[in-house]
Amino acid sequence: MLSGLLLLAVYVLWDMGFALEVRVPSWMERADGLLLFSIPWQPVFAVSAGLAGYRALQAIGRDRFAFWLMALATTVPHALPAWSHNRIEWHVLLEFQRGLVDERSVYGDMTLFVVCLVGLVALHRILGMKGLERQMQQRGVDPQEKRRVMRYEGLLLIGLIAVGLLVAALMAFLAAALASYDGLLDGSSPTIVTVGGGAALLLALTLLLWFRGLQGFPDAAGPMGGDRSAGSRREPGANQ
Amino acid sequence: MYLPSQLSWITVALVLLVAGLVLGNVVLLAGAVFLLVSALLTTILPPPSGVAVSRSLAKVACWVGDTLTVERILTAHRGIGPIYVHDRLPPEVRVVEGSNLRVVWKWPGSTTTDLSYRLQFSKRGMFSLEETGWESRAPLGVNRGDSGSCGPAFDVSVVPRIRSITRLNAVRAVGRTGRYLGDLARTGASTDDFRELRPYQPGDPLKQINWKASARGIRTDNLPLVNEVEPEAKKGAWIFLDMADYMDVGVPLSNPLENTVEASGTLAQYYLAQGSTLGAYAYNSHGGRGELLTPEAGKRQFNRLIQMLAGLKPGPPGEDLLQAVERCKSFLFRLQPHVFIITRLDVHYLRPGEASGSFDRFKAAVTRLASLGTLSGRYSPVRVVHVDPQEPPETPQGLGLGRWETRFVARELREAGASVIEWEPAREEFTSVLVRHVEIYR
Repeated sequence: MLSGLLLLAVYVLWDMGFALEVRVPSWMERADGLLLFSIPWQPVFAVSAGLAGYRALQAIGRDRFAFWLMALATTVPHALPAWSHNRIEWHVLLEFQRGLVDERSVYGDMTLFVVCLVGLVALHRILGMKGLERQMQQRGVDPQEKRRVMRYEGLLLIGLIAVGLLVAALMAFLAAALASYDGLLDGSSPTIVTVGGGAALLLALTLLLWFRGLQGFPDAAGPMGGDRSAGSRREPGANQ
Repeated sequence: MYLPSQLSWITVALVLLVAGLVLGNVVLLAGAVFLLVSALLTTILPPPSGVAVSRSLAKVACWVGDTLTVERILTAHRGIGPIYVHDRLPPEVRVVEGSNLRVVWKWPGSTTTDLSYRLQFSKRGMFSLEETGWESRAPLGVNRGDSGSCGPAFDVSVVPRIRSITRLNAVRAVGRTGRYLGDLARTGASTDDFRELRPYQPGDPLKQINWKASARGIRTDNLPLVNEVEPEAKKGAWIFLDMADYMDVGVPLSNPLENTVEASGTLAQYYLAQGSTLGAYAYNSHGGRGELLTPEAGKRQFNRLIQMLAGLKPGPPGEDLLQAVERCKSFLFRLQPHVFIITRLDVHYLRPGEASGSFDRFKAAVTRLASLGTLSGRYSPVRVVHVDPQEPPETPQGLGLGRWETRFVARELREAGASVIEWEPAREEFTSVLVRHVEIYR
């Protein structure tokens, strides 16, 4: 999963290289000449270096840091393609970009970026599931029951990603529909406000439920080996 | 609490949303939408709640080695996710079927699941089964859940298994030789327990004549009938149990310690059934001081013995047999019983370099006990029961070092006036050994 994400990042960087028009100093041109020989192996180098770094951080017990570092490493290459679709051109005002040599497909870049995020969410959950499986194994859970839990967790993950993609696709479809008004709304503030407003509503709803969840489970204990006495209670009618 | 990572995802989504709005970037907004939908879904999926586990046991008293079925029914009404149901068991308990830890996945809607299992108690004693604990957790790695405990705690009493003595009773030689039966206390006080009506014999006190019965049944010899009552006691028996930790070796269900308990139970059952007075002393038991069962007769004495046996735990060998005899000497002098010592003889073998005091004291105790029979003027040897520790299957067959040591010690004890009974629990029951022992003397 991580290899795929790293490969995707390398591809995006490579693809973006054709669209950039930048001036580079002479030493960089010479270095670029040297790099020409290793172009076919660059993805392999990048993926290997990423995996090695991830494993090294895991080995020293920095799992969470390793994950977020890899998340950064795989999403940063998407920054330039995403930047090229800014409708409010702050960069022009700040005069630090020379421009792009050709137009890039907004839907193509959007798809690549969302696929990267899907991969990260799935990778994060798979790591969590591995930890859960390990904990169940340590507690001596029956292998059949363990497999069943893992299968249902996997199904829920697939469902989660599917629903997330569906809603994101609906947003994109809405943006495309607004853009179809002969350029009246294409890239205009109302499009951004519509899509952004929807996302803001989602954020508000998420935060609302999140806070309500925090208040609703004051005694929630860790599911595996947490303080059981905190939530202990006797169920009525259970004494037989 | 939520995992920090979920908050991190919401933060990332917020950053993308703000950046998308500020830059007017649809790509970033699409990413923010996907992350927010994912976070929203994981937030709205509730963990299982309304969980109840009902638990019941068929019985709360059983024999060692018996299996008990623990019936557990899990019901949950709301939420999605796994539910862990766990019974904390004492280490002496073995689960033989099913599992005390179960994980059940719950989908939306009410669910009821049977989580029964069977367990086996491999040791004597009183064991507590705590309440059934359960934990539920939300799916998708959200660290939110609930936990609790249900059902009453059970106290299970596990008593030692005592073999049937039917076979021993069937040996007619027992009655004839008087090794294990007979020795009726013809003299001494009588009890009030009626035994039978019999014809009057010269010397019977007149107050024992049952006039009503004599008037109803006219005998040909015209002799009146007298009430025959039970004598106060028959012969006495005393059991010394060695409860040192060297007895607690091997598998839990059948090791010298449990076999000692079984043998003493069998002996007690036999003697008490014959109306004998029985006393016992367990030395080297847990806590330093031995456990004494004061001599009495009757069925209640058997229950008292079983109660004592159920609570016995092994301890360091701090008290030897001679000290035990000293402690019980008042009872022994008064009762002058048949004495059984149940122990492992191979541990008393004097190895080169070891001080000879330990075995000498053991032999002195046996000699002292044997002298009780001399004092009473009847042949009443001390019987030392050697409980053979079961050797692992990989041990080569033949006369091992332990067996050789046992025989050496047995010979020494026989010379001191004891009768040695060697018992291999892996091969035969204790009753069979007793039967054979009786037949030797027939």
